[in-house]
Amino acid sequence: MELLEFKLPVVLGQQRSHAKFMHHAGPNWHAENFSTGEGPHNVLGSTIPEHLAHPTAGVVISIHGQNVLIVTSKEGTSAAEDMRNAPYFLQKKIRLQFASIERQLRKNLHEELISLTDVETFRFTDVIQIVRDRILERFAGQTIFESDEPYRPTKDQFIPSDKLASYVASAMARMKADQRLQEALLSGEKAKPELLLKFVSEADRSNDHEHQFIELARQMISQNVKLVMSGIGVRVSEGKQSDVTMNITYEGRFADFLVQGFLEALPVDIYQAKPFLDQLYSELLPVGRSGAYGGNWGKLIVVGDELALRINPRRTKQDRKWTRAKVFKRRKS
Amino acid sequence: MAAFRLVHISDLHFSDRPNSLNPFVGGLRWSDFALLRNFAFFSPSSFSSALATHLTLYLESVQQGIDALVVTGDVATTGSQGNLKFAREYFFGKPVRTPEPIYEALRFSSRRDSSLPVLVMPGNHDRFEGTRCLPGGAQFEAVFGDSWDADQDVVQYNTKRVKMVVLGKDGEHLGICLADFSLRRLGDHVGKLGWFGQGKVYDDILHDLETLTVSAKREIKNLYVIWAIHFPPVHPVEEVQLQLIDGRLIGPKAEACGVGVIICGHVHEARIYRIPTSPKLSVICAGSATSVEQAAEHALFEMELNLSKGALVAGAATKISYDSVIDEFRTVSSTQIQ
Repeated sequence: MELLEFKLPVVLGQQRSHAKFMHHAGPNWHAENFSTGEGPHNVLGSTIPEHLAHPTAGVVISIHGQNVLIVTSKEGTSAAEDMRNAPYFLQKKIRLQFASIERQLRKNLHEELISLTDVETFRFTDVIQIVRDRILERFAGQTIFESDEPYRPTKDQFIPSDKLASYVASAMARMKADQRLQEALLSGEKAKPELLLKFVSEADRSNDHEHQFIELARQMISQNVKLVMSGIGVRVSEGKQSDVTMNITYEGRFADFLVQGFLEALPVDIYQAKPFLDQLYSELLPVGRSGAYGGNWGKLIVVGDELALRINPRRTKQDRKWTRAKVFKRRKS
Repeated sequence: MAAFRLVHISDLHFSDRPNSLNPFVGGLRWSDFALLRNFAFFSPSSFSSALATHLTLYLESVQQGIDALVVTGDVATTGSQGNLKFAREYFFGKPVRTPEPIYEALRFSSRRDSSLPVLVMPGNHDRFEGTRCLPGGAQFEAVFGDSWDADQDVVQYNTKRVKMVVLGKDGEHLGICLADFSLRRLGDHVGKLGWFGQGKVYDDILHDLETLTVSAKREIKNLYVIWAIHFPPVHPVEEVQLQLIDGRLIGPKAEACGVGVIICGHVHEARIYRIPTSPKLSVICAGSATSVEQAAEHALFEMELNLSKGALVAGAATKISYDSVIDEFRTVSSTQIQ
């Protein structure tokens, strides 16, 4: 595995009036001030305030395996361990950046998947340079704020099983075929029967992408189930003075409003909806029992054998005093 | 000296069909229009009801501390009346007696301080017309009005494709010029399916933009102008399918007009960048706050511009992102823009 070291051009700072500084970042995360050799304060013409600059700690970018994997850690520590300890939002940013880079690299390499061998054979230096430049450009001159919320390692605790994901994945396989057909038709190809047959038959051979669809489906379920619950949670929490417990299943069946929310947010064949929801219920039970799956609005719990939301009262809104500008002059043309 | 604060959001993709989802959008941005929800008919991806609710609560929490809310296009999924009306209702709808079901989006109109100006402009989605989503739709004006301001009467200068709003405080003025560079006709696109995601810098619109900016500066003392354009010009990671055709014309013209900040959206990725040939110009590109995409970072910007004698003396753009751990929008980073 190749290991490349450089420092991210970010400053980890304090969030406005909040006094928390790198609350859960752990010992391997410190304020960073990037230095490229060209000057740390002017990568994109943006200036990092002097008072936010701190002594640096290393950040490691590693490239290995079949992907360009970007992890961040202090020099000399385990990269994987550090990635786990990294602030979630920074992990997310880096992963998003990685996805973007990967897309660009695929284009550069003529749509071929990047493997370490390819990279080493063809353009290893270029790849490193691209990754480096993109990271520098993306984070240049930013002050990055850590959340003042306690870190809740809860989101990833709900990892849908292959069985659950397969309900969504099978629907996606069909959608993929439909999508390609639509694109072909929109590109000007006529709707010939043989064209339709071609796409249907290709859909039947979609096993090649089965693993990809399963993983995508797993992410979609994990993300959307939480989103739906959070949307309901914050609605219910309004005006409440104390915690509220709200059952969301009755005899193992989700309440109608939740069914509506789930089936709107997830592509599930309508004929598979019942087994999908039954499976979802059974997989959410242990998650609810852990009592750690939720957000600022509250959490998922289990009451008896039923799933419920324990909803916190909503915090009072900020009321910043500000003299609002007037619309200078109103004039219709 | 006076400080102006704006919240800048973009690409909300509101629709009367919420949660219309394209799971392939992460890898195939250009084709996110070609997906069938419930496998029935052609439909672009729309918005997440839950994210719209979270956005409302965020906007409610900050609205007393800002001067205006600016929405840089793609307020709706398509340019159909149904989608655009939903978008209008989200911001400007009248309070309803019966609250929406709790799985539906909580509308900002139910919480909005009516004195807060909300500036809305069209993007390419808002001009989609018909089942093929062809460019050139005109329903945006039918729903939001010829001034695009939904009867707020806040537009000071008005041409067909360029509007300008002027805010004033303590002897300083901030002009926000909104310009619609959406494709006018199918034949103006380039490449495969380019009409879905491309815009084009038309000479007459650029001329109007320049003329309004210059004439407003002549008429109004101590006026600083920023431009709002849906399509980011000369984006550092520009994809042909999402390109602003002839976007290279924007930077020099902006600099010539004394414009130092352009706000935009379109690519669903929050980013602040500079155009290499126009280094004094900051382009602030908001992400999509509410789109239903899986891999997207749902981000917007809070901007503070400190003006003195019509010049920008200090500015900062603070990125606010939806944090899926705590399930709220929160401050992520801040960048100096001057």
